[in-house]
Amino acid sequence: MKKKIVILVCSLLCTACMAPEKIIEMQGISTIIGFDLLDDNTYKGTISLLQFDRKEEKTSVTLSAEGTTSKQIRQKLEEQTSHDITSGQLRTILFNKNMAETGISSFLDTMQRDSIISSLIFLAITDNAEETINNTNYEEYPEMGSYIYQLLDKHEKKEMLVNSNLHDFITTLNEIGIDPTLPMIKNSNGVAPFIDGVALFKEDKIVGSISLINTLYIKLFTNNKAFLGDITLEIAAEELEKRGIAQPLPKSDIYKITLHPIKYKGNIEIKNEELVHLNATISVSTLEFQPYTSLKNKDSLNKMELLIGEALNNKFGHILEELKNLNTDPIGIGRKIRSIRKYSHLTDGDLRQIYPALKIKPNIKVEIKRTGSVD
Amino acid sequence: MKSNIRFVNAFMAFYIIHTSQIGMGILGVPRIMYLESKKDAWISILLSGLFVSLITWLMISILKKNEGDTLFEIHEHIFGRLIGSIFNFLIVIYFIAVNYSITISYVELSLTWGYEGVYEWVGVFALLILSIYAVSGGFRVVTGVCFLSFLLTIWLLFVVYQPLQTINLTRILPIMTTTPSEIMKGVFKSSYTMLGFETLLFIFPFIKEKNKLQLFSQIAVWFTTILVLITTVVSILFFSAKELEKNVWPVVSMISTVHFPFIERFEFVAVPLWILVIFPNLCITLYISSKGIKQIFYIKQKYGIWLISIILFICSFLITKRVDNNYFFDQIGKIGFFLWFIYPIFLYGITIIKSKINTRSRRS
Amino acid sequence: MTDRHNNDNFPGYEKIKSILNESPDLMCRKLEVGQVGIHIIFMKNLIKPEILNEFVIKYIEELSVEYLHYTYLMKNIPIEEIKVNLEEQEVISSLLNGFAYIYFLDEKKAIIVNCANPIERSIEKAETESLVYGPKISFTESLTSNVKIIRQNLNDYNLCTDEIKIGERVQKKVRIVYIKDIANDDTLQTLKERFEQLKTDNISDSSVLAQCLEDNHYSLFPQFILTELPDRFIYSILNGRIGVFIDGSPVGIIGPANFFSFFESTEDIYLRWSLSTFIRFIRLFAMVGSIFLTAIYVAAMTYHFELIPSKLLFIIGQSRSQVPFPPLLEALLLELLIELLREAGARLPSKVGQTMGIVGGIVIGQATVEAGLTSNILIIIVAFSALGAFSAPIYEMGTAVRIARFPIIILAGVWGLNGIIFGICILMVHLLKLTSLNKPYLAPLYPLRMKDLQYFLIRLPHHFYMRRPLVNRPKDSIRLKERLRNITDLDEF
Repeated sequence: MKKKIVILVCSLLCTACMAPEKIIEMQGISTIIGFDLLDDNTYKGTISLLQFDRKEEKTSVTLSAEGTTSKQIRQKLEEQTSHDITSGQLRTILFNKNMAETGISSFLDTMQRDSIISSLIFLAITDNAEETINNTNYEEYPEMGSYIYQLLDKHEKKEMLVNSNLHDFITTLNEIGIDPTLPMIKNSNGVAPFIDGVALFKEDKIVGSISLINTLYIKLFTNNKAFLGDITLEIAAEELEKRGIAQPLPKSDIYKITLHPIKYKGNIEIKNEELVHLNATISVSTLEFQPYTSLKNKDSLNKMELLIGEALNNKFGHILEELKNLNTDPIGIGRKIRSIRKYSHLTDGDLRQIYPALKIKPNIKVEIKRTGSVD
Repeated sequence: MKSNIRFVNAFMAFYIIHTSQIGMGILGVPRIMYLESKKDAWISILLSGLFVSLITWLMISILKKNEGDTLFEIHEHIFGRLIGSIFNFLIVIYFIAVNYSITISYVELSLTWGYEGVYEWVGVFALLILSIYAVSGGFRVVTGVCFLSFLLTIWLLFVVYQPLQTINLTRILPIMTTTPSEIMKGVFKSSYTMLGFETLLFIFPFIKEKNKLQLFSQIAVWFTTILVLITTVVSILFFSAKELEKNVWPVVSMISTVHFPFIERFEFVAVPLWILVIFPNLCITLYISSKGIKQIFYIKQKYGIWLISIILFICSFLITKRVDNNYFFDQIGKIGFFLWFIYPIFLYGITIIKSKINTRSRRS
Repeated sequence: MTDRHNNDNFPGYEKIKSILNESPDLMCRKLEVGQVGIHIIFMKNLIKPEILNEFVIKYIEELSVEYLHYTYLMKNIPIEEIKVNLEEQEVISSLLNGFAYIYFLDEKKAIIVNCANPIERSIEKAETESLVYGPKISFTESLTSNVKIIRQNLNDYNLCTDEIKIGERVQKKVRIVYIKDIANDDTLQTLKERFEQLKTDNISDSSVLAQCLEDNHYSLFPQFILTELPDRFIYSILNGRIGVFIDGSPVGIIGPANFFSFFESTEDIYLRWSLSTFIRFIRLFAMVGSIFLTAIYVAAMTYHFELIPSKLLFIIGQSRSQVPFPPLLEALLLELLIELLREAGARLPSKVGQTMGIVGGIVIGQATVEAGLTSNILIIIVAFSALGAFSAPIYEMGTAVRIARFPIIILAGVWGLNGIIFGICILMVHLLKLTSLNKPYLAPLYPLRMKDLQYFLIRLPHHFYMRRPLVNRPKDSIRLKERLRNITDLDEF
């Protein structure tokens, strides 16, 4: 009898103190949120919500509100809808370019503090977040949030982006000696948004951008199993001649080569305070030679490898110069320097001073492993 | 009474000791260690593991000298009934405090991850029901809980695989940049996580093959050390320094980057699952403290369990603030350090002296 | 005592008639052979007339007068079972069991001979437990034929079938079946003590008996295996368990049982090891899924929608869009509906039952989804958990799983995933506490016996089974001294 009473009291107590419910169809499930800088201190927030308790064609709604902090924006958004806005399924945060120029870390701090927001959500830069979210060309996806998520997720899964989720961004932001990057999403009329380059940051402020193809040079050293993307090079005919590589019969001024990286290995080598070597080896298979060039000869193959390597190094050198000019270090050279005992005392400020003057020598080697089904 | 005791196999000591060491501590240990000994936290943990292993060896020697009694009985033998009881009472209070610290820190974690707005006492109440139900089944059930919850949660270790994909080895380099004193502070701070091996002093009479106990408790202690080491090293490699210093539960934050095709946010599964990890802790501390009450006041263990549960339940209305909790855990870590890292050394000395006196008096 | 039959305590016809409340079935055939008067008293419906006519009446009529007395008849009557010197009460109960009472009027003595004609079902195929392979024979309601089946299949002189009687008003015969040099003495002793303590009016079936013998009467989980398959019964006995039969029930009781033994079927032995192992895992997973899947749905819908992957979110969200109830209520309603269907199907005759299932399953399911009362995702989940519960080879375990589901669903509706884990903890402690005939229920998992896991979790090829599982603590644990067949490596090709 005593037992029964105890069990009864327990179950009564249990039901009396239910956790606050979040029933799925009562929620306005935000999938994407975008922030635009209006003027000095006012932001405009736009969200796309999934609401399930209505007719099929109206499951998604886009709302906008203005405010000075993200929480204030959220409060105002909450006033506009009959649902509870929740961010448990939030997948993407967009910032417009102007905002990224003034710094986004204060926004990210609240995002990270809120345990309901996943640390795997994507961050991206766009020209105008509101317009991007209101774009209706999202193919067969239910709403814009899902489309952009799929877009970024595909690139993330194939490791085409350097680092784009909240965790990666904040970690690189807080780390001394490396700067974060974020994908830039381009929105234009009549087509679905697409990725158009990668934004380079210095601290939490955007300073420049590079194209998606050129991120391969960054990925060589930051990620060891990224998808580098195909490399297309144009080589002048004289170069080939100079090196004595067998010329194909129909002569042409410019040779186009497309290479498909199979695997690669990158390594930052700190020679001394002023000199850094960026060593990398890429194994490639040749996809395209225009016009047809035979690489049967081992000697000419080696020469070709050298030639391609030089071309890549050349290009990389230019990019490095640009990075140094912007004083942004997405490769993490500073971090590598700090990991050496001699330099481990260096602070963020020290590294920023050293970096532009640093001699960085790119040293990419290419190894042609396969040539497809023909020689 | 002794005939009623159900014995358990020596290898069960592995599960008991290991599961009572692993609990809430491991979720926050990377941060605590990092705050003290920075990149070299792993050295502190290894040292701490070594220390624990030595103490475990010492404890078993003490127990063997005393012919299979629990610490409560040893105290009464050595210090006499009155002073021994005072010592035992302090130990009971310590275990109640440990139990409460585990409960309240879990409840706090759970409230942060998805249960905001629930009162703390609800969580405490639920955990209390569980532990009362288990402990009232006796030692056999408590051991079973340790064993099963180990089986049901050890796979969480493999979840680390996903964060491992994004770690950066340069974050732990260069090694040995901290001073020895900082490393020793780290050892001191790790006590809250490593504590739990003291359970050994109370389960000894129930172990069937006492000569194998040394082996299994050493395995348990080292297994725990390795687990703590893995989580700390992976956390250091995974987070940037600033983040690690800020995060209260770095391990949970790390789990939050794990996702499966069928579960998007794994941390919301991992946090409830953590009940299974702390469940053995709660059972063992409640069991030991109620056993102590029985030893001191000569009342049935059942009443001891109820008494302690009521105390714990009342506490759940008092200490609930984050700041108070931190102070509380810190104090428990300190007391635990002196009680179980330092005190056994004295106890060992005393037992040796005592046994020599005994043999001498027997001879004369 | 030896003089007892000399006493005058053999009741006459009148007395018996009055004790049996003037039953119209009570017959008295009054014979007079020469000077000797003999009454043959019997219950009309309970005896087999051929036996009575041929071997009693005809035999007595043909005897010459000098042999017509108690002593001769007692020694020579051609009937296999006779009883003499009985108490009045026993006489009556024998009569009610189909015996005939031959009363010598002059000597005032009587012999009781067996002319019983019990109603027996012929031995048929098992119905509640079905096998694809293996023997199809099943137990019947008759204790004698059940023991016969066992004896016939288990020809071992150490097979003991101890008989005891239980029941105050309706006495029933119970047989405890075990192999003397295998079964554990302590377990046997425990079982016998339980029988001694058993005070009951009437045990109507072996399932009732099993419930009376249980260690924990409040538990959801069955603590004895009930089976109607002789091969399963024999398999268990050979592994050191103890079986019990009760008269009038076609189901044998086997104990001590452990949790995992409810998920093994004898078919696992008949099929190849690879398939059996796979199926055992499927059964265990189905059981786990059956208990927790609906609860997880409720928890995810009520508290943790962030767990759902994006692609699934849209499907689930849309399916719940029209549902007017909270997920907890929705799940409970649907679970109850399924239980109702099952119950209705079980009560109806089999042909109607099938239609019932179709009507319930398809028509109602379809209609509720279309009306927007439930989400179709939930229908799939509930159907799966119903299937999972029925996949347990022992029906009782299936029922236990079905009941265990409801508290977990409610906990999930109240506390979300934390509630489910709370439920798991309670379930875990409960299973740890539970014993069957004082043997731990969760064995061989806890207390862990690594060597026994091959018997309960997986099934290996037969030549691995050299000993009996130790969980039942058999006296003789060696099954085979040598391997079944030495499998040698062929070196020649």
